[in-house]
Amino acid sequence: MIEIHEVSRTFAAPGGGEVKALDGVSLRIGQGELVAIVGASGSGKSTLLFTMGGLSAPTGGRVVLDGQAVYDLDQGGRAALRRDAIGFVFQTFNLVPYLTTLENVMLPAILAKRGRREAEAGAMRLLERLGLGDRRHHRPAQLSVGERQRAGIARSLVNDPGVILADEPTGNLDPESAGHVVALLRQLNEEGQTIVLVTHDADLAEQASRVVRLRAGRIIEDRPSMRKLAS
Amino acid sequence: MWMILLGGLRRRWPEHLLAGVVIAAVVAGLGALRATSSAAEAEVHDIAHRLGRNMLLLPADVAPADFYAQRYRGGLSDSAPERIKASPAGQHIKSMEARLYGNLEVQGRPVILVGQDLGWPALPDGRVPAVAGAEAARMLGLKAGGTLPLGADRLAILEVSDQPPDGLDSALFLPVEAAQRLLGRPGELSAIRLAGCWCRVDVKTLGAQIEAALPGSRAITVASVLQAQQGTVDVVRRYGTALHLLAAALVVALVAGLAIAGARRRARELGLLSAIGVPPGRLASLLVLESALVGLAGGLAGWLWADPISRYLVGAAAAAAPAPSFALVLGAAALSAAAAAFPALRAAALDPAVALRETAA
Repeated sequence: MIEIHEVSRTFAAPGGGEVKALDGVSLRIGQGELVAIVGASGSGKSTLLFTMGGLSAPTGGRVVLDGQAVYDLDQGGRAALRRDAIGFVFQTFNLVPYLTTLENVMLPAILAKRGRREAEAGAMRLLERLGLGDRRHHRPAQLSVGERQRAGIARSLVNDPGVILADEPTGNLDPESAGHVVALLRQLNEEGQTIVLVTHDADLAEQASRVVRLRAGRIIEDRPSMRKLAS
Repeated sequence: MWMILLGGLRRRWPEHLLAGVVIAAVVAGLGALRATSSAAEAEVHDIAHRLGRNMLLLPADVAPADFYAQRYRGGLSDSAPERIKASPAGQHIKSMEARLYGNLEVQGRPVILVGQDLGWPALPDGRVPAVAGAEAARMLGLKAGGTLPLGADRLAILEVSDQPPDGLDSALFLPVEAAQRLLGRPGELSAIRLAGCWCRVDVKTLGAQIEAALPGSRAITVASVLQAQQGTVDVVRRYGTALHLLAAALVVALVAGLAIAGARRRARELGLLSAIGVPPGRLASLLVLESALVGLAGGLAGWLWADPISRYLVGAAAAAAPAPSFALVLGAAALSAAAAAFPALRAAALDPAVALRETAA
């Protein structure tokens, strides 16, 4: 479970002064939810996601993940938390270009000291499941964008995290690849995986169970999705 | 993390190759410099050895010019060799040859008598063993096996020498005691030739020690020649130190520059590694280790090249010089690591959210 209490985040503005990216945001995300955070560019949705994930310390407020106040931990502790409890999926995939698909996926497991053989087996299972088994020795540049994003999702899952945080996961994909990724995320959620995703895509947002809308760093809407209501 | 380390090294091979080549050139240059400097020093040492044998001790009131013009006088006591042996200088001296030089008229001809402290044979009938220089033999009609009555003594000519000591071919060489007797200068010496190993003491100091042991004596040395030679070596060494510092600065600037540029280019990758759970300290050590490996490889290549380069520069003399120290290789690795440390710490401290966002396509 993720609890966000009155979180604020300000950045220094290029011309002097400050920009408030988050302004007293409070949110509670339960186990097994698929939450879509939506809003216009600059509304603070990516900042909220990164703050939730222990990547960007808030200037005010608290973030609690499974009972652990994230920013009470030191940098090493937060790194361990990200490694073990959170899976990140990025719009630009962020695969390490000189590693193979298999090595990219097994990397977080190796960091978690799971042993090379176990890490490789876990990564292979995920690649097979996501239809990338025959692409395991390819480097990211040799994959299609859809395959790269599926590899990114496989990497986020390899340490069996409590939550997946996805920043615009379909933002760089063609409609067909985006459809595959959406279906995959929904399937993972139906298996009990908590997922928080940031998106511009209204259709994708309605595939979630809950939609949170941000404007100027504040939550202006927090409602069940159309799909949820329909079901 | 080896996966990341090796992958990173492979991917950025051109810049690593550049750094490695520069480090190799620096290490090879320093190694060769050290070898050539050592070769020059060995040469000075060798000169000291060879010229040291020519150290000559004269009475202080005898001008060397008079001595070399064969105007001889006494002045040193024949106890001088024992006193030198007993002095601090004695430990450096391997052999001493005491001599008494004198001018004498024989059969109306000017002859030089040289009393030499050598292992002369004992002859029967009180004859005195002697060697005649070729000119002296010609003037006095002497032949090997002949005799020459001189004062109360009879000299037995053992040999006529075409190449007498010091080129004194108008001299008669005989035992010191006989020369003292014939010249009427009992207990006197004109000069002492010293030979030995001057390795652990410079010749000037040794000369001063001998003069102190024998007041009233003067040591004629080659100190000034050696001093000039040593001065050259010292200059090379001094510039060598400056070159070492310059080389270190070059390596630091290059590695730090490449580390900064590399960290900027890799911001997204570093942000990602941070996001998936690599702690900042480990991220920094990864970058430092990468630089250290490049420094180690470059240093090793330079170390291997130092010997051929020094052979090319100073030829066979390089063989006598010690092999380039392996500390150069370790130094290159350590310097590379140190140069990368600050950029690495800065890169590792970058907010991963900022790194991922700013470098996002």
